[in-house]
Amino acid sequence: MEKIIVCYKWVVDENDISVDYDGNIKMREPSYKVSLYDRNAIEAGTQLAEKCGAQCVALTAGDAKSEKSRKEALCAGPSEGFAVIDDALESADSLLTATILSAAISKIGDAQLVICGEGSGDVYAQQVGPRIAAALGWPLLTYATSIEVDGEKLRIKRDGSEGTELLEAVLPLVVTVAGDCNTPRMPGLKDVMGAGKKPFTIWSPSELNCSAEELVNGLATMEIIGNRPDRKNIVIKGSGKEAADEVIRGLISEGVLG
Amino acid sequence: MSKQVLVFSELVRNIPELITAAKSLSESVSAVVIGSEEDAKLAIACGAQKAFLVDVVADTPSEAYASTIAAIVRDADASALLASLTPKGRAVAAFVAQMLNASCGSECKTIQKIDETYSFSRAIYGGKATSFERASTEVFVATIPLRSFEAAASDQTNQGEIIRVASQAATYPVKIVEVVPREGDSVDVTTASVVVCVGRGVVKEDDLPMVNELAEAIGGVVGCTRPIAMDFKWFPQDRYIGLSGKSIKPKLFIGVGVSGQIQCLAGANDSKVIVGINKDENAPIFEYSDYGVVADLYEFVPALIASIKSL
Ligand SMILES: Cc1cc2nc3c(=O)[nH]c(=O)nc-3n(C[C@H](O)[C@H](O)[C@H](O)COP(=O)(O)OP(=O)(O)OC[C@H]3O[C@@H](n4cnc5c(N)ncnc54)[C@H](O)[C@@H]3O)c2cc1C
Repeated sequence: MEKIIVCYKWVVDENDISVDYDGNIKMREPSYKVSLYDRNAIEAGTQLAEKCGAQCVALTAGDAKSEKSRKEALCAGPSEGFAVIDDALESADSLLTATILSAAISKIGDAQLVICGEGSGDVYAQQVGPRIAAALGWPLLTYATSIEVDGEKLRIKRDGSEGTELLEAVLPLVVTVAGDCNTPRMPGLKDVMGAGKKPFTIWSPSELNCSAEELVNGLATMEIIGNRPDRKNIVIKGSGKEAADEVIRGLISEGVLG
Repeated sequence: MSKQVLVFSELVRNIPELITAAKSLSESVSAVVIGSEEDAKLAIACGAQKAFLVDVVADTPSEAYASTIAAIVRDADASALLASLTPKGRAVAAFVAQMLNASCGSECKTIQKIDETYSFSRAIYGGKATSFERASTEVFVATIPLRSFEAAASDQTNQGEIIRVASQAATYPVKIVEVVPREGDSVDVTTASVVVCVGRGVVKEDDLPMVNELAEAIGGVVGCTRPIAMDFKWFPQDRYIGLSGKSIKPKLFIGVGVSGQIQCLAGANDSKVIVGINKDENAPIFEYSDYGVVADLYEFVPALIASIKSL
């Protein structure tokens, strides 16, 4: 195996997302990061590359904000990065994202393995990995919990409905990894410094031969309505018997206890 | 006549409920059945006009059938494919959608077709909001959570055609070599009437007996948040609750040291009563709680156990 491509999304930290009751999505001073489970994809690709002397390349697509992902993505292991940047990708749906990413994967060339996270931290539709496989015409395997190289073969584990499945695959392949497949490394100062020196190429969709007509979403959001949690919101302060008795009385009156 | 709507489920037993969903969109509904002739007959008895029957190939992952399903949808000139929402069903649906240059609605709560255009609603931000979306592609693919629709009743007098479709699944370059059965978990958080949910506020595995005692005293079972199961592995993964875990509907949910991030509460929002125990009065769990106890759980949980026992 020569080249592994790991895909990631630059997203608002999930802890910063809140919704007010009019349905307006509020991002409390949003901070951006590499999506949680994409960090597992980057780690998986980096580990495999280290083991078999391959190159691990990171790839993202998004609007101009995604350029800022450079350091965070590259200090996590990959030796090179690519970003497809266009304003039209700001709220790209899975169809558009996968079309762009697969075109970029073909342009990067020579990759035999593409790794994606199980789903993004914001939308979590879990579509892009499978869609990339379809667009490339490659086989797909989802939710891997471990990937090992064994000569020309990959040995993969995942959780199936009947138990843990042990699978064997030949390349090329698109794999999505589950959040528990590894623990992403904590980059040290050296990694952070080194990240700035690694090559990072920015493409526009037109450089991927994607026409403007292709830069459209298949889905349009018409309306978002906030759901007010219909809860009593009774606050009880105190950790002793009195507080406990108050909760118990409440639960009994609700008919859920006793 | 409107174009056909096809249904597919990785779990054949879910096909009848998908048929109900599809019938609300088109009078012409057919099923893709990866299974046996019996399964295909059931789909027809439940109202499918045709059953496209694909043989199961042993030791082959579900993904291997995706390109065959896409070809069936294309050849049938269907306007939509509804797939049930299982992890692999989701992956297959997305793969099929890309092959057909189609949009794919994830976890659709409702689906409508107006003037041949599909629109749907889905929960976003962990249930904090509902998003209404419209598909502009020629073909639409949707994944539908299990048990969202009544199963179509089976009527043996329904007539239909079984069409056998050859698949290339046998030559798929990924093979299952072995399946190691998971250790059975006697606890099912999805059917329990009381769930005590352990969050990271519980700092050591050694502290779990205290939570177990609470669950036992109150007649419930212990579930947990994702990091407790996936990172710390204190519980099997079937025990964690949330967006990527189990959705539960108990009459009582008690979060013990759970921060209440939307991704976790997304799975517990349908509980009748929610109690949150957290020492941080600004923890998001309080927004979702009927009873929010601002306290150190290590002091409050023993007090709560004592109160229950004294009833
Ligand atoms: C796409 C996506 C999907 C996800 N899916 C899920 C999912 O399905 N399920 C899930 O659970 N998570 C999920 N997560 C993760 C989720 O965002 C949160 O990180 C997680 O739920 C937090 O778990 P926690 O509440 O146990 O831990 P924390 O957020 O660390 O909270 C611990 C809480 O304990 C409190 N605490 C600490 N000590 C004490 C004490 N002594 N007494 C009282 N309180 C105390 C703290 O104040 C804190 O609020 C997902 C994330 C993403 C991005």
